[in-house]
Parts: sequence; structure tokens; C-alpha cells
Amino acid sequence: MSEKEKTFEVLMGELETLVARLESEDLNLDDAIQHNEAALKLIKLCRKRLDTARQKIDKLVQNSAGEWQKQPLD
Amino acid sequence: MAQALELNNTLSVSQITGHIQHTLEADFSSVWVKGELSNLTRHSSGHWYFSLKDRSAQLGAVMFRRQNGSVRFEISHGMEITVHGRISVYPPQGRYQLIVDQMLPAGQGDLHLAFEALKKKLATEGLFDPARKRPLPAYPQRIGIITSPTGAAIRDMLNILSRRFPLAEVLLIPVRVQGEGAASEITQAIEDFNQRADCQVLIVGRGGGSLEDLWAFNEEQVARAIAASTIPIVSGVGHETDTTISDFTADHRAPTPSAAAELVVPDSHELMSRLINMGHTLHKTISHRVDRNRQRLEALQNSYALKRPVLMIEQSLQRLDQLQDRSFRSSAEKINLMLSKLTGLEQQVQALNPLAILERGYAVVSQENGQIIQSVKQVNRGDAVRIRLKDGDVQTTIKKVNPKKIT
Repeated sequence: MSEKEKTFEVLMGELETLVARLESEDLNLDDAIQHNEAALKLIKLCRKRLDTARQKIDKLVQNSAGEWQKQPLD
Repeated sequence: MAQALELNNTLSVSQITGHIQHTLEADFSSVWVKGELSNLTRHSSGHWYFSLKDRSAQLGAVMFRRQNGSVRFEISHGMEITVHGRISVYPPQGRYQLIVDQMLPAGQGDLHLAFEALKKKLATEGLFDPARKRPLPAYPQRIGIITSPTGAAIRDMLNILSRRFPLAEVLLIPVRVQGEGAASEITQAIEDFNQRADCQVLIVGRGGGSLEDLWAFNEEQVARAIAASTIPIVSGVGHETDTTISDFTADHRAPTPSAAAELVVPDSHELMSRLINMGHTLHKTISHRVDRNRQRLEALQNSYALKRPVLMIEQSLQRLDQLQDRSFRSSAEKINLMLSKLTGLEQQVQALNPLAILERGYAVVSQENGQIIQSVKQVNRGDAVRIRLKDGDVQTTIKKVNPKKIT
């Protein structure tokens, strides 16, 4: 799954795991630097997502065939 | 024959009254009673004394001032009411009465009784069990809302959701939240959301209203649908003081719809500062680690083990220099020593050179065989001798020998 496809929750989960590992200090320096870079990238990505988010709001209505349709809420 | 007086089994009035008091007060410590209000006396102390009656019985009752302040409707003779309280026995008069702590008009009282009955039933089934409650997702991707599409509740919720966490998508299944059919619509919507399974959390709720208005959320089917939902549900019904059965079966209970919206999403501003802090912490952590490793590296670089070869070379070079110096110095010294020795010897040789004496005008006399004559005893008259002078020698004969007279 690419970063773009990941949900915010998945990204935050990955970030928290990385930070926890970094703080546990059982990593060698190479891995620590790699983890750090990955974590900073995730932070940037999460911040961007929060910054640019516009809430999508829809109303669900069932048509005559019983299928759900999304409609903007007026 | 009349039964004999069994003195041991005879009770005093106080004793039997005590038994009655104990039995009645234990068995009726919390009861709901419905009846017609009569004989009402509002005492100057603020307490209400009245009777509850139906066609064939009546029950004395008192509601003390502390409790009757919470009665929110006008009471009058003859009205049907439902009350809650406990039976109390008053031994001095041999009377019992109901001490009332809650009073409702009969219609509302019926709802109340229904509420209590359903609550008890579902609690017995374990539907309120804290172990059943599921945690809410930390960052929901999609939130399902079941409420009326009109009215303040949905507006408040959408405002809060978009202010706090615009990242989440919101899906609304519009339903009626009061009146005929409301409970079925709410139940259906919960089932529909579960079938779609595209939301991580659901909010079921409505704004404030009377007990009757909120009643759909006290219906068994709604409470059960909430309990059966595989998606975590937050209930937000009415105001802070309203409690519904749905609140008990929901995974989380919010006092209002707005509070429910706050509960299901994180605040993105807080999240943002958390992310920024995380970045700072990470930066600090990693630079600390890099620094520590750099220091370790420097320490290693400066370590004796690594420096030894260099030191050894330096030491050897130094030693070489010293040896060179020493050898140079010692050979120079030796030469000097030799030179001075040589000079000394030269002078000595010089000094010993008999020719040098001859230079100063002395002469050396020797016999013909070359032996130097040092005493008159070595020669006799007529001996041939040789006299060496500075620039040659002469040969002559001894004419006379004159030993030195010893005085």
C-alpha cells in the first residue's frame, strides 16, 4: 500500500510505532537514522493531511431499487 | 379446651410492632405506586401529607420538603399520579405510610415504569456490561450519524466535526427521532450502517425534549440494535440530565449530540501540535544519538590503541634522533679527547725532544757507542767522546777528569 492510500489512522499508527522504537534505544545508529527519517516523513505527511482536509459530508438515501446513494446535505 | 396461654410466645405491642416495622420496611424499601391523589395537606413546614387511593384501598403518604421541591408539575386533588418511595412504620400510632421521594403524573409515570422495567431486563441480560463496551477508533476515517437531517443537533455535530477533524468523512442516514416509527427508523439505520461496514464509529442521537420526545431512545428495539452493532456507537440524546436506555447499551454515552461529536474525533489542532512536538522530540533524540556516537568515535580515535602505531613511530624517531645526537656527541667528545691527548703528547714529545735542549744551547755528550754520558765516572782521560750540538756534532778526546769535590 502506498503512503497516499494509507488512512490517517494507519499513518499515525506507523508513526507511533516508529517513535516508540526510537525511544526504546535498542536500535543501532543506522536503523535509528532510518527510523528517524521515516518518522519525520510521516509527520510531514500527517500534518499535510490535517492542513488540507476539507470535510466531506453526505446524506445516504435509498433509491427505489433499494440501492444506497450519497447526496450532499442541504 | 381453650389453648393455654403460652407466656413464652406472647409478644408485647412494641415487640410485634417492631417485627412489623422490620418486615415492612425491608420488603418495601423501594417501590413504585400508582393511585389517585387525595387528602392533600401542604403543611407550613413545607412537607406534603396526602393519601393515594384506588377503588378499594388507600395508603397514607408524606413527601418531605427536600424532595417535593423537585416535583415539576402542579398537583391537585383527584389527579392520577405515580410515586416512588419506601414504606415506613410509625410505632406510636401503629400506622404505616409511604415516604415519597419522586412524584410523576400518571402518564409520565407509566413511561418511567416502562423505562425502569426495560432497564432492569436488559441489565439482567448483561447488555450494559462494561466488558461489552468497545473502544472508539483514535482517528476515524468515516463517521456515521443517525439523527434528524433538520434541527440543531445535526448542525452542532457537523460544526464540531469539521472544526475538530475535517479529515473524517461524514455519512448521515436521516431518520425521524420522535413520534410514530422513529424507533424503527433508528433501528433500521443502525442495521444499514452495519451492513455497509464503511464507518468506524456511529453517533446516534437527537437534541433535547420531553421524556415523550426522547422516548424512541428508550425503546427496546433501538437499545438492542445499539447493543448488537459491530461498529462502536456513541449515544448523544437530549441534555446532560436526560438518560435513555440507548445510553446504557451504547459503547460510549455522551451527555449531548455535540459532546458525542467531540468524543468521536480528536482535535486536529491538538494533533497538529502533537505532531510538531513529535518532530522536535525526534530531532532531539536523533541528534543526541549522533552526538553520542560522534563522541564515541572521537574517543576511539584518541584511544591509545589506535594511537600506538603512530606513537611508536614517533618514539622510534625520537629515539633515533637521541641516538644520533648521542653518537655524534660521544664521537666528537672522543675526537676532542684524542685531540687534547694528542696535543698533550705532542707537547710532551716536544718537551722531551733532546734537540729542543740543544736549541737552547745545551750539548749532549755520548760515548763512541752512543751511550749518553751523565757522570764523570763513565769516562777516563783519553776516551773519545762525541758532543752533539744543535747543528751537528764534534768528536774529541777527554784531557782530564775532574770529579766534583764533595764538601
